[in-house]
Amino acid sequence: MPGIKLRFDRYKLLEIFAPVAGFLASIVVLLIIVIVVGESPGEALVAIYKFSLSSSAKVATILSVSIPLFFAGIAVAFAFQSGVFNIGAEGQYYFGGLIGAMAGIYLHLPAFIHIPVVILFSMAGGALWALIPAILKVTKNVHEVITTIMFNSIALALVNYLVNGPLSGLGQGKSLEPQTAKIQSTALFGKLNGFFRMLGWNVPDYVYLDYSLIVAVITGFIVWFVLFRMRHGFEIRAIGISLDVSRYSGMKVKQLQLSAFVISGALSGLIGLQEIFAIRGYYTYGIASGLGFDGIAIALIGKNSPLGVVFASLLFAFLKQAGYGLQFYTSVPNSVIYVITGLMILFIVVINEIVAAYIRTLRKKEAV
Amino acid sequence: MKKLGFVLILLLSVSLIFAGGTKEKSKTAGPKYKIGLVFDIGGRGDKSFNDSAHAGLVHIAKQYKGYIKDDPDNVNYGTVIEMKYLEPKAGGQDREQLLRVLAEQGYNLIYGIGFMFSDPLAKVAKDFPNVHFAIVDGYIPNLDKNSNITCLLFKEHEGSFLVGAIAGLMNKGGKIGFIGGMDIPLIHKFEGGYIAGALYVNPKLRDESMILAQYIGKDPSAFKDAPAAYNIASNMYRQGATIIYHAAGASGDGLFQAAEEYKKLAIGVDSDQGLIYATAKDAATRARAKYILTSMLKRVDNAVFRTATELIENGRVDGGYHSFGLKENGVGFAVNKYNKDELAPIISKIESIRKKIIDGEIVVPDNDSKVKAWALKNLK
Repeated sequence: MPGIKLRFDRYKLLEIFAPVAGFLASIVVLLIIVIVVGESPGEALVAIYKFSLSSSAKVATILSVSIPLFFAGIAVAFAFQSGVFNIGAEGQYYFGGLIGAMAGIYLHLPAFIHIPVVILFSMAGGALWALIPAILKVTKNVHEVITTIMFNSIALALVNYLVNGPLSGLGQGKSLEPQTAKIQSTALFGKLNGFFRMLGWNVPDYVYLDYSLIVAVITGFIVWFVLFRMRHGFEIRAIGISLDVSRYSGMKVKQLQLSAFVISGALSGLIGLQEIFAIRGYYTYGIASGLGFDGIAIALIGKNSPLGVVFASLLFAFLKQAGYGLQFYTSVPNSVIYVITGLMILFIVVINEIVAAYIRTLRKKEAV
Repeated sequence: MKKLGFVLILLLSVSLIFAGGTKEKSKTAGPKYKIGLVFDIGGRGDKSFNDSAHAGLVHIAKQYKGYIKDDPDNVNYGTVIEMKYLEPKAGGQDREQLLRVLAEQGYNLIYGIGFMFSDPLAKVAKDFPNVHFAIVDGYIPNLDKNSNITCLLFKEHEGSFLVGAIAGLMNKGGKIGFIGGMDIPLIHKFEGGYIAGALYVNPKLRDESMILAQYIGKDPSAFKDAPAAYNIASNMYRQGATIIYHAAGASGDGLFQAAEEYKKLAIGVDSDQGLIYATAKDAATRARAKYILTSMLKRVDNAVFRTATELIENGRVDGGYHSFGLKENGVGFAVNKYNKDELAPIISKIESIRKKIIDGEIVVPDNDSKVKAWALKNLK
């Protein structure tokens, strides 16, 4: 029957529409709060627009801010696909970034090798930090939420100790911010801004559109290919859906869990690339924190798919910039801005889920 | 029917958007100067370091008829100077972004509060040669008079020496304590001066067990971890400390809480915390005020004010390094109407020490690791 095909497409459309609806609802919430606070909602919208989409520099900044968020999202999403709840991305990128930075400081290589090497070292560091919780999970059945949280604290303490102590690059009378020695110029990430300008996109030099953007694009493709075009990825998704079914059908469940966990750790190791190799040029524990937890929300909104994560991380970047816009152009207090961005995320997730549930019931009805 | 409802809601929300959009704007004459300031993450409201910078802005507003844009306290004394402060949500490129947006919007003088701004400020300053930048506690190398960056540095050890002397004179035979925030060289300056000051006035404290010192942590969150400060302080009071000095930003509240509980004394930092607590809105905070003996003043407000004065009076600010010690009235200790009587018996002694430091008769060690050598040389 031709009607069935049509209806199927409508569900697909509805599915795509769900996050958009969530976003619109969250904007309404934003405006209501703004009115309650006593600011004019029109001004608030203008403020957000000015800081997010008003110029190519602002749009490029959103793209730039979304890069580490994308890595965080895809790392968590990969583990989610296998049913592993990796909330240790935070610790994994602190440690992965440190290992990568060490490779950048102490190895002497030509640039075309040095850059891939620091990327691989960052991944290896992240993977290593995920390995122990992963082993504990598959051999002793220790829940990963507990171990990864603990490992976050351990990573932070370790990194603090190392940067203040043995790895400190602070000379007397220099900057007061604790940091390692400088990363060698061969390992620093160049910018793609010139390339984008050649393509006709007028991006000013100061925006960080660096090599980590290329790494992000490649990573996204590889993850998509592994998950949806390879047997290993299929099995990883299978254990995520049902551990028992997978086990009875002969999959090596523990090995799969272990590999998904460790790959997730390796992906987490990439979160710090931009800040360490493009923005700062040295390592410090002052690198942006909390990204590992943003990653959880991003993976949720992106429904654990690489493309979904792209959109979700762009959305997060937009929300962050929107917050600054409100801060700069309106008198909405800072604390209220945090509440607003938090609520917006909540609304997007909730409406997304409601629509998804609605589609499920519609489909069931149809099956009957 | 459902669709109709949806459309109605949409219409309503759109009309709401434009209904509120008529906020009067007094566009008579633009401000003569625009001054921007970026706090660090969660800085504003710490009743200490960052609020001292805010007090500097308020002082500018009063003196030169200015106003602080979008400030909840409605600081408004005129329209000659416009001021605006921002606060990043995370590190990374956010600090840089906020400095840049202020520069883009035509702010003439922009402050970064805290050493974390060193890198971002240097980068943005390069792109805006006509805007002047100032950083508190940050050190950016190779600056001269013509640079568009001024580093505002403090001799915290000199101020700490005075409150150390106060602690040494008023400890009633008990131990004295020091709580540092983040374990970095900057905070060790406070510790060094404090211990040296206490040793200078009180030979009994020269026994090593008499001075307790501990740091809260090794990352920036140590400056806003009041529970940790409370635990450390309680522990010190139980060990026999009678006075504890903190250099831990917003964590200091934990110390004051412990002081209230053990009925012992505490010394605040950066702002006049005794005064701030005594005039606070909520009763619980006010109750803590009488346990705050004094505060080491790090006059970030003076530094912020003086830099702005240069701009407003001369039309430009000299680049380079400004050091604020006792001589420049950049550090000191707090005397207010609440602690005046308590400090009265010793105040002349402290003042004479202050003169000795200003005259160079006492050279205060700027790190606790240097105190031992200093004591051997200077104390009998």
